[in-house]
Amino acid sequence: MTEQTLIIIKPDAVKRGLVGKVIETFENVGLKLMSAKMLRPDKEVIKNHYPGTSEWLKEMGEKTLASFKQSGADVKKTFKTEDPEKLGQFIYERLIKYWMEGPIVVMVWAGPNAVIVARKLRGQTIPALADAGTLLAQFSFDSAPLSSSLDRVVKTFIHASGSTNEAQREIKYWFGNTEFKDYEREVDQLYLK
Amino acid sequence: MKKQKALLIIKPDGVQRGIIGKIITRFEMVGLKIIGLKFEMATSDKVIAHYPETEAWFKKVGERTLTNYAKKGLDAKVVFKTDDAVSIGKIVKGWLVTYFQESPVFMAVVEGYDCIEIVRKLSGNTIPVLAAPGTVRGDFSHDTIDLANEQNRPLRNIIHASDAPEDGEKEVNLWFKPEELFNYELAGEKFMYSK
Repeated sequence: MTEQTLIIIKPDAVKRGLVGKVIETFENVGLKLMSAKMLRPDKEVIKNHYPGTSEWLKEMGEKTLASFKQSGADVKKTFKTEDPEKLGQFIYERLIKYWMEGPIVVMVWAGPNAVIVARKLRGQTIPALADAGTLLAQFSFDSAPLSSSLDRVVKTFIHASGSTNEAQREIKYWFGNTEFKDYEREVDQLYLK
Repeated sequence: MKKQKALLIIKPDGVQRGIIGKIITRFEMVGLKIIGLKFEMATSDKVIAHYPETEAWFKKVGERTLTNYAKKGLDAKVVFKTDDAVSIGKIVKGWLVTYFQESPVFMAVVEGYDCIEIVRKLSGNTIPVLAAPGTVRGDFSHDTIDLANEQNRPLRNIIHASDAPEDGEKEVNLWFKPEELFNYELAGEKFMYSK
């Protein structure tokens, strides 16, 4: 039942002093912190956090296209292309630049349905579309047209694994084969026993 | 004026009750900068090195314990099988090592001007029942020396915060490697410090 997910607090959230608020959000729902560390990875490490495949680049590009369409802005004017894969490549490079703006906090959280629960609490990565109460809705007004007019990506400030497979890959990527020490949280007795 | 560093450790009672985030937020709110952070099991070696391993420290802790027991009319000899202050100090230290390892601990290095005094103020009196409201210990704990003595364990007071500038440096160096500390500017920093 219990699964693990990877959460990363990105540089803008660290600089805004939101580390405690983000941790509190996941703690309050009952998820258990298994590991955490602050670090400032170099470019290659950030790059390889993402699959970077042609399929993945296309998916990134499609997301950008959708968000431009939704806001009525002209993709071609901004990026000189409408090709999803090329758009994806653009975004990928800017994404890496964003991650390098300062230190990040990488964490592993565990609990029943941890992946879905954490994604829900984070909210949609387009803040304007994020449900009220989610971290993205509470702490960001960023949008694709705004960010691309400033030659940067949307600052989504929290990464949360998208699926259990992704979580497994990402946890291994950031923590190697570390065995996390289990311990008892106050909610365990009420819900897990 | 130079910035200071302080080590904060959210101990197992804080971790297991799920109040790490609430506590960390308090230190971020005043404008202290988290320059290093980790969550892991503390090794016995590190916990032993964290508290002074000196005769003077054992004696101080042992005498404090003897005084507390005497005040309550309890016989320290029943619990500790000795009334020698140094021996009692060593036993108490053993309790502290056990307490520190009940779960992983959350460690953060915070930096700022007069940082030591600020973290002490925000953490509150180390005896929870004496800690003022608005402090971490005052708001999140109510353990008492009597109860801890009755149960032969150390006080559970949620957080460790460096006590003096020398301690801050020493503790940060004990738990963190230089490459685990980071330099960056907080979003509101120029509003806090520029003239």
